[in-house]
Amino acid sequence: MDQKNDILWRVYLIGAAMFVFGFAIIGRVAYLQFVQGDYWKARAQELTTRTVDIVAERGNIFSADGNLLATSYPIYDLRVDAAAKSVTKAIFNRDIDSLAYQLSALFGDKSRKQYKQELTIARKRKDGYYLLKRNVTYGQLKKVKRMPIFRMGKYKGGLIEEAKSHRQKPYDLLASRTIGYYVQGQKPVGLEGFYDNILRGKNGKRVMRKISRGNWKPLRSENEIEPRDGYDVVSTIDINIQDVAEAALMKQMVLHKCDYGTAVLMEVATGEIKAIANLMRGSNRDSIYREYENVAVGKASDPGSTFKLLSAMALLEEGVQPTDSISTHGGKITFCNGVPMEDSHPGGYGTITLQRAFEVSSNTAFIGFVQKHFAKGTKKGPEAFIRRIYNTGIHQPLGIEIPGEAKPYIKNTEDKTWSCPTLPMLSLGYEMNITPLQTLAIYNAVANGGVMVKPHFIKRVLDKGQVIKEARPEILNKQICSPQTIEKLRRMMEGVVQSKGGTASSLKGLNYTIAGKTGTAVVADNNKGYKGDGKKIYRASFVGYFPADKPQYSCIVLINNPTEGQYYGNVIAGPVFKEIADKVYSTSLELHKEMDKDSLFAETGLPYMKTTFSAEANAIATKTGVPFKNPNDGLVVMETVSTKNELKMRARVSKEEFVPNVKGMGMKDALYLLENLGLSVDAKGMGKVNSQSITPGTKIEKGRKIVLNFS
Amino acid sequence: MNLLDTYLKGDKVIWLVVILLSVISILAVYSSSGALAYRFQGGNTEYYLYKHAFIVVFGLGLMWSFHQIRYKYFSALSQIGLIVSVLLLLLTFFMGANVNNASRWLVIPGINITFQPSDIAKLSLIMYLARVMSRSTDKLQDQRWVSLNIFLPVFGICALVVRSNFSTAAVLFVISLILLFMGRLSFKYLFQMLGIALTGVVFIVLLGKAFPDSMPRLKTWEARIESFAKGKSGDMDSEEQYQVEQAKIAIATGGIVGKGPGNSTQRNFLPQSSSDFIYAIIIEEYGLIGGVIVLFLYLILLFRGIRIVIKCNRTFGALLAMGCTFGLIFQGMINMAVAINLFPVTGQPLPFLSMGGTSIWFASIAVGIILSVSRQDDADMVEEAAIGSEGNSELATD
Repeated sequence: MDQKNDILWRVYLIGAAMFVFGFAIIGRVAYLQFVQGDYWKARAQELTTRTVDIVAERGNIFSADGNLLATSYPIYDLRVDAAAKSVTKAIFNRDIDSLAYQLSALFGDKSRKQYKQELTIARKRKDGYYLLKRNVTYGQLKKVKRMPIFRMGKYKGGLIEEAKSHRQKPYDLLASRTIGYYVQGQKPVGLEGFYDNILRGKNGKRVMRKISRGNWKPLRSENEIEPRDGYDVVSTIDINIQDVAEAALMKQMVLHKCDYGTAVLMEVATGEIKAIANLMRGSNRDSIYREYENVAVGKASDPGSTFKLLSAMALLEEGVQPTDSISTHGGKITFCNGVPMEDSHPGGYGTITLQRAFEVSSNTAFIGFVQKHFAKGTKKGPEAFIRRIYNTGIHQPLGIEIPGEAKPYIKNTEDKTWSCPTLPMLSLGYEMNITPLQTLAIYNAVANGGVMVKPHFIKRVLDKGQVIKEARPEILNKQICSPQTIEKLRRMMEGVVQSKGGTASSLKGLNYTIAGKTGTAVVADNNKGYKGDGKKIYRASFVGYFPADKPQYSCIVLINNPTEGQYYGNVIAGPVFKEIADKVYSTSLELHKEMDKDSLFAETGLPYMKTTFSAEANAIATKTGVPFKNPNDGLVVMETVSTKNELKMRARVSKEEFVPNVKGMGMKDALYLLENLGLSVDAKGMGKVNSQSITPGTKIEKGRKIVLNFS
Repeated sequence: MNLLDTYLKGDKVIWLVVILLSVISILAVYSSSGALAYRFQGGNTEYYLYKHAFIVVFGLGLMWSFHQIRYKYFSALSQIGLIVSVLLLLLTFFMGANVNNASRWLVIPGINITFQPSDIAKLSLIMYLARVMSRSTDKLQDQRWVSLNIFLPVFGICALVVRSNFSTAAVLFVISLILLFMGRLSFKYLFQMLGIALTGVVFIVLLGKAFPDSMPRLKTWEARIESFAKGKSGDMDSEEQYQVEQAKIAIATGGIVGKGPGNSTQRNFLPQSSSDFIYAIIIEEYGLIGGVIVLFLYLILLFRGIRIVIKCNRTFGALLAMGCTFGLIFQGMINMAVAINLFPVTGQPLPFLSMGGTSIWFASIAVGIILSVSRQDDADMVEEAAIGSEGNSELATD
C-alpha cells in the first residue's frame, strides 16, 4: 500500500505540473490575442508576398556542325535607388564626379556633366527607381558595380539591376527565317516557333516577401518550384553551306533584280535540310533583301516545267518508252479547240523522243504525249494521270516541323473548274500549287531510288549535352513509282545537263555530274492574268541532285521575277545551284589530304584576316589558334591592322549616312552591309572586295549603284 | 456496443480522444500543407491529404495491434528495442538523410517514408526504465548498479541523439528523469543525473566552439536561443525570428472563434506550418476555442493515463503507462509552447497532429501500450470480482 501511495503522490505531482503547464499555454494564447493582439494584427497588414516567375533559360539552337544559331543571354536594365539612406550627402558629393565620369566613359552616350546632373536631380526628387541605362551587357554591369557609390554594395549603393533575357542569332541573316522566332501572341515562325515547347523549358516560381520599401526577399531558401531549363536543339543546317547558299542566292537576286528566291539543299538518304535560304525584297522595292518569308516552305504556286518530271513518270508508268517519239508541229500547237502553246525554241524540235522532250523541255511534245495517252476519251483517261501523280503523295503536305507549310493542290477531275485544257496544262506544271520544298522532296525521292523521305530540320534534342531525342529519317512513301521508271527518269535528268542542247548544259563539265530539270514558269502578276499589263512575270528554277551517279544531295533553286532581261531557269537558278554544289562537293567528299598545320605555320607568316564582323573574326582566330587582339566583338566590323607577332584588329568605323569602306570584305558581308544601307550592289568577280566604285565617306543616295570588284 | 467491446478494449475515452485528434489532424494538415503541395507536388494538395490519411489510419492500426499485446511482454521487448535503437542511431549518425544539416532521419525503403530512430529510442527507453524500476527495487540504492543500469542507457542514448537533435535529447532526458522520480529513485541519484547532464551540455558547447565541424548544429541552437531571448525587439532577419513572428500573427488574427477551416493565411508564411507550428495554424483557423479543445484533449489523455495508473496493481504496468502518457503529453506541450513562443524553436512534432514521417506511428504505439495496461487492469478487475477478491493485493513486482 505504501509503495503504491509513494508512487501515486509523485504521479499526482507531475500531473498537476502538467495541468499548470497546460493553463500557462492557454494563458499565453489569451495574452497574445487580447493584450498583444492589436500589435500583431497590424503586423499582419504589413505582410505582403508576391509570387515571381523564375524564367527558365531558353535552349539554344545549334547548326549541324556545332555553331550557335540562336542563343539567349541576359542583358540588364540598370536603375538607381537615389534615395538610398546609406549614400549620405558627404559620400554623394565626394563621389558623384568620378561616378559620372566613369559612366560617361563606359557608355559614351551622355557627357559627364549630363550624368552628374541627372543623378543629382534624381537624388533631389528622392527617386527610388531612377532609370540609369537600358540593355546593359553583363560585362558592362560588372564594371558599373565597381564604380564609386555603387561599389558600396547591393542595397547600400542603390544600384538595382533587372535582368532580362535577350535572344540573339549570332549569324543574323543566315537562315533566320528557318531558325525563326517565337513571340507570345504572334504566329510562330521557324524552328523557334515549332520547337518552342522544347526550347522554352518550364518556369519556376518563388514567393517573395517584402522586407522594406522596394526590397523583397525570398520567403524560403529554396524556390517553390524549381525552373527547368529548355532543351537545346541541334538543327541539320550546316552553317558553311548555308553561308554559300545565301551568298550565291543574294548575288543572283541582286544581279537580276528579282522579287524573291529560295535555295534548299537536302541530303538524299536522310532528308536532312543542310541549307535553306529565303530572300525577299522589302515591300518598299528598295532592293534590300532579307528573310521576310520562308518561301521554300510557305509559298505554293505553279512549279512550271520542273513538274514535267512527274508527267514523264506518269507516261513511263503507263508503258510509254523514253524512245517513243512525237512531232512538235513546228513548235506551235493548239489544243482543246484553239488553246495555243508554243515551245521556247522557235520552230520546235521536229519529231523527238520523250527523252529528248524532257531534255529540251518541249511543251508541245509533252502536251502531245499526255493528250495521246490521257486525254478524255482515251482508254486511260485523265483520271489515270491524276492517280499516278497522287500515288507519289505530292498532293499532300509533307508535314514538316516548321509551321506554315502551304497546302499543295493539284487539280483533279472532280474539281468544278476542270476542263479540257486542264490536263495539258497540268502536264506542264500549271493549274496547281506546290511549294519549292515539296517539289524538292519528289526529286529527292527519284534520286533516292523511289523512297520519299520527309525533309527535316532537326538532328537531335539535347538536355545539357545529353541526347534525349535523335531524329530518324521518316519515310513518306516507300516507292513513289516502279524502279524501272526511276532509272529512266534519272537518265532523262542526266540528259538535261549532259546532252547537247539540254536546257542545263551550262552545268556540264564539272568534276562531278549534276542531274536535274530547269523550270521557267510564266506566272500571273498579282492576279492580273498571265499577261496583265503586257508584262510577263517569270519564275526560274532548277531542281536536281548530285553526283548524278551516286546521289548524295538534292537541291532546288527558285527565283521569282528576274527583271534584267534574262529569265530562263538555267541562267537564273543554275549558277546558284552550281555554287552550292561546288561548295558541298569540295568540302564533303574529302578530296584533299589534311594539311600539316605546323609546317604550314612555320613557313608562312600570320594570315591576313578578311574584313568581317568581329565575332566571326575572333571565332576564326580562336579556332585556328592564331594569336589575335581585337577590342571588339559581335557585329562590329573589323579590319586587320597588322599581322606581325599577332593578328591586330580594330573596328572599322562607318557612319550610317556615309558609304562604308568594304575593301577586304567577303561577298556576303559586303552585300549585306551595303544593301542594308540602300545601295544597289553590282558584284564582279570572286573573292574579297578589291575596289569599290564609290569612295568611302561619300554621302549615300538610296538606290545608287555601287560596283564592287572582287579578286 | 458489444462489437466495440469485443474489438476495442481498454479505456474507451482514450480511444475517443485519439480518434478526435486524428480527425483534427487530417483537417489541419490538409489546410496547412497547401504551401508544401504547391512547392513539391505541383499544386496537388490531395497528395498530402492521402499520404497523411494513410499514415493516420495505419497508426490507428498499430495502436489496435499493440493494445492486444499483453504488456508484460514489453518488459522483455524493451531490451531488444534498446539495442535496435542504438544500432539505428549509429546508422543515422553516419548515413541519415541530411535535412537542414540535421542527420536525424532514416528513409524506409519502398514506401519512402522517413522516420527518426530517436522515436524508437524514446519508446524503448521508457519501457526499459519502467522495467528496471519495477524489477530491482532492492538495488536502487547501489551506486554501481544504478550507474550501470540507469545512467549508462539514459546518457548513452541521449549522447547519440544530441549531436543531430538537441531538443529531442533534452526531452528524452527530462522524461527519463520524471519516470525515475515517479519510480522512486532517490533524490541523490536524480541530482547526480542533473549534474552529469549539465556537464555534458557544457562539454558539447565547448567542443562545438573548438571544432565547429564536430557539432554542425551548434550554430542553429545558438541562433534559436538568441532569437528567443531577443524577443520581438530583434530584427526580422533571422529565420527563427521570422517563424515566431508569423506564428504570433497566426494566433493573434485567429481570435476567439478563428477564421474557419481552410482559411488560414499564415500557412503561406510559416515554413513549418504543418508540423512544428501546426498548433498556431489550428488557433488561426479554429480560434482560442480550438486551441483550448486541443489542449484539453491532451489533458484528458493525461487524466485518463493517471486513472489507469491508480487502478493498476503492478509497478511495471503503472510506470509503463505513466512513462508513455507523460512522454506524449510533455512532447505535445513543448510543441505548443514553441508555437506560442513560450520556448525557443525546436523540432518537436505535436503527437497525433503534426504531419511528417512516422512520429504519429510512435505516438500510436505509445497509446497502444497505455491501452494494453488499461485492458489488463479491466481484465484483472473482472477476474478479481469473479473470484471474490480478498482485498487489494500488494503491488507485485512482476
